[in-house]
Amino acid sequence: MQRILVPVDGSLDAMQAVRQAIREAKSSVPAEIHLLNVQPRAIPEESMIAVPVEDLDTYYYTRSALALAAAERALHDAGVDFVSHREVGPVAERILEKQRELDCTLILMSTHGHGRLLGKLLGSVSSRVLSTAKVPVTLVRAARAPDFTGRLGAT
Amino acid sequence: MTADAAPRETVLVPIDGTDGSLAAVAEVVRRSRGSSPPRVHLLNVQPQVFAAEILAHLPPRASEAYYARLGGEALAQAQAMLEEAGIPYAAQRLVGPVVETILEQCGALHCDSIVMGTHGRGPLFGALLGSVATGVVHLAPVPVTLVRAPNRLHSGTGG
Repeated sequence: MQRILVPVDGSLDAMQAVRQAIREAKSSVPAEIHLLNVQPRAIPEESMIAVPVEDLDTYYYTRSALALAAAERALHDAGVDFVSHREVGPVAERILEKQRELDCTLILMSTHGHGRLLGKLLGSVSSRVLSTAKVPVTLVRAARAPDFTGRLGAT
Repeated sequence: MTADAAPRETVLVPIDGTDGSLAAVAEVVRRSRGSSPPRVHLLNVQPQVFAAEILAHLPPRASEAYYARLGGEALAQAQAMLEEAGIPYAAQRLVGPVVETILEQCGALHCDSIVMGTHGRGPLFGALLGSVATGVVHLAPVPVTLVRAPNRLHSGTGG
C-alpha cells in the first residue's frame, strides 16, 4: 500500500505529477493520493495585524482552491479517490511536515513548479524536499519551458 | 488505453552495488508487498575503463572478465533481495557511458519508471544528487524515484 503525497502549485508542471499519481493509483499497487497545496506567506507579519484574520484565511483559501482545482478535476475525472490538504507557510517545510503527519510512503512531484528557475536541474522546492525527505521522492520531469509560440496548448 | 486488469509496470533499477542502489531495490520490494509485483529490470552499467591503446595489449577477453566480475559483484545482493522477496526479475550487465546506457535501456525495455539511489559510487559526495542520478533525472522521459541510503540521511538540517 502506497500513501502518496502530491504537492501541487497549480502550474502545468505540477499536472505532470498528478498524471503520474493517477497512473500509480491505477497500477497494481494500491495507492492513496493526498494532494497538498502550500501557500507561501505573502503578507509580512508586521502588516498582518492590520488585516482581519478572516480576510487572510479567505485569501489563502482562495489561492489554494485555485491551485488545487485542475489537479482535483483530473483525479476526479480519472475516478481516483483523493484527499486535498491546504497549508500556509514555507513550502518545502510544510510538504515535509505533511509527509510525516500523514505517514506518506512517497512524495511525488514535478522537478519544477511556478518557481521555475530556467536551466536549473531542480526547482528550489523539489531540491529542498529531496535533500531532507526521509521517504523516496519521485520526480516527474517538468514539460519544456513554454516557448511563447503558442504550442503550450495543454488542457 | 486502459488495460483490462491493472497493467504491470516495468521498473528499471540501475544497480552499482552501493547502499543507495540496494535501498532502491528495498523500495521496490516494499512497494510490491501485498500486490502483484512489477516487472523488475536490474541493470548494472560498468563505465568503460580500458582505453583502446591498453586493450590492444591485454589478452583477449581480459577486459570482459573484469567487467563481468565487477558487474556480477554489484548485482549479487540486489538479486538476492529480489529472490528472497519472491519477485521475478531480469538482470543485465552492460559496459558504456553510465547515464546514456541507463536511458537507452529505459527506452529499449519500455520501462514505465526508474527507481534508483540518490548517490552511487560517483565522487559528488556533498551534492544533493550524485552525478548519475542527476543525469538520469535530467534526461529520463519517465518518472524517476530517488531513494536515499539509510546512512546518508541528513540529520537535523531542518529549519
